[in-house]
Amino acid sequence: MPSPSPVEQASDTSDPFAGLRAIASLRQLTDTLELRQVEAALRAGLTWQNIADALGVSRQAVHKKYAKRVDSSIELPRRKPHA
Amino acid sequence: MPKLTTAFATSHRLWVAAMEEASRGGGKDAGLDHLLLALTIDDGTAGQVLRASGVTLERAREAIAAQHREQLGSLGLDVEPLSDGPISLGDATGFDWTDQARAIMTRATAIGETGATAAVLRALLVEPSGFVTAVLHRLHTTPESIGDLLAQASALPVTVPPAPSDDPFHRSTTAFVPATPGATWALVSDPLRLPEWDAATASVAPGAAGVWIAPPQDGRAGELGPPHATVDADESRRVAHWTFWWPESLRPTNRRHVIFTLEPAAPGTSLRVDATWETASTRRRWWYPAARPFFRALLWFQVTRVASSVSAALRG
Repeated sequence: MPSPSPVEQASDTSDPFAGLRAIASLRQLTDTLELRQVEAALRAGLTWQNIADALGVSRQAVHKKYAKRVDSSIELPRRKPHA
Repeated sequence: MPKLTTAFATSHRLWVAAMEEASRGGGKDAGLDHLLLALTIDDGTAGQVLRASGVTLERAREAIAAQHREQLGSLGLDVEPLSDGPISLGDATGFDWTDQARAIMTRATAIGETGATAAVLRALLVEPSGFVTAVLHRLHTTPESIGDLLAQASALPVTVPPAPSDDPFHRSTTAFVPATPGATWALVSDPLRLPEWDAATASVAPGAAGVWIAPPQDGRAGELGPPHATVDADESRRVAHWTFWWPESLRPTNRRHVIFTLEPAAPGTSLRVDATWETASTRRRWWYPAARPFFRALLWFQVTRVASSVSAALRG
């Protein structure tokens, strides 16, 4: 019997409790990777808006989540003052 | 110790150790896995019971990584968990408990619980996700078995710790270090390794007559001038006595003493840290009694920070 494809394996809902716990591991991994990418983006000079656009969320959401979590040695972008 | 003080001290020690473990994966959220790892290096009943059950730091790290790998594998993902980097807290900003871990800490201080590490472990053993149970099964033990040992240990007569010194400028703490006494001694007795456990020191240079000069990390010594240090290391008793002073200071300064005392505690080392400030003036100032709680808290943070830095340097 052929082994299930990764998509079939990931979609297996026969044991939802184990499946949910696996999602928790996945979320921990993606949260860590997201933090690394956000820090790299800020170091590269991207704005909060650039990061929000790439992640598909609002600027406010990404700022609220990461402004106090990123490495404090990173100089955070500020809003441009109104003319 | 009053319940509130116990709960605060427990929470702080576990917080630092859990954040250090979380930082090895580059994350800033300390979850159930990091809380379990923090408990494996606890100096109290919880840590002793875990280690006696074979749940040591190294084995627990491996079991947790294997559990995450299996769970990710069930989603068709063949990836290594991010958990084997060096401990790197930076300036320790942005770290937080996950909701699951915070719920455990809350339960450990609930009515009927003491807030001590044993209470945290009791709460962790019955956490509802089953993650901790799965990790313990990998280590050939169960929450029930560890819970039984914990109950037996808790039923033993409590060894009352010696009353804290009456001296407001002295505090001590003990910690379990997951490294051999030899490795621990090599760290705490070597002046060249001072930067590994003293956060204020980036480097040391030899001066005259066994004195080591340790310029502060930002290079700005200010009006104090660079700190000087000596270490009196007695290897036969495994006692290393550090003295720090500021001879170039423009104003009178206090000498700081940090004394490490090591004892074997399989599978690691029991480390006692004493910190004392030797005041420059013998005159008793009128505001000392009012400032006493502040000095005690400050010294408590200093000794716990030194102890956790030694532990972090050795478990990498």
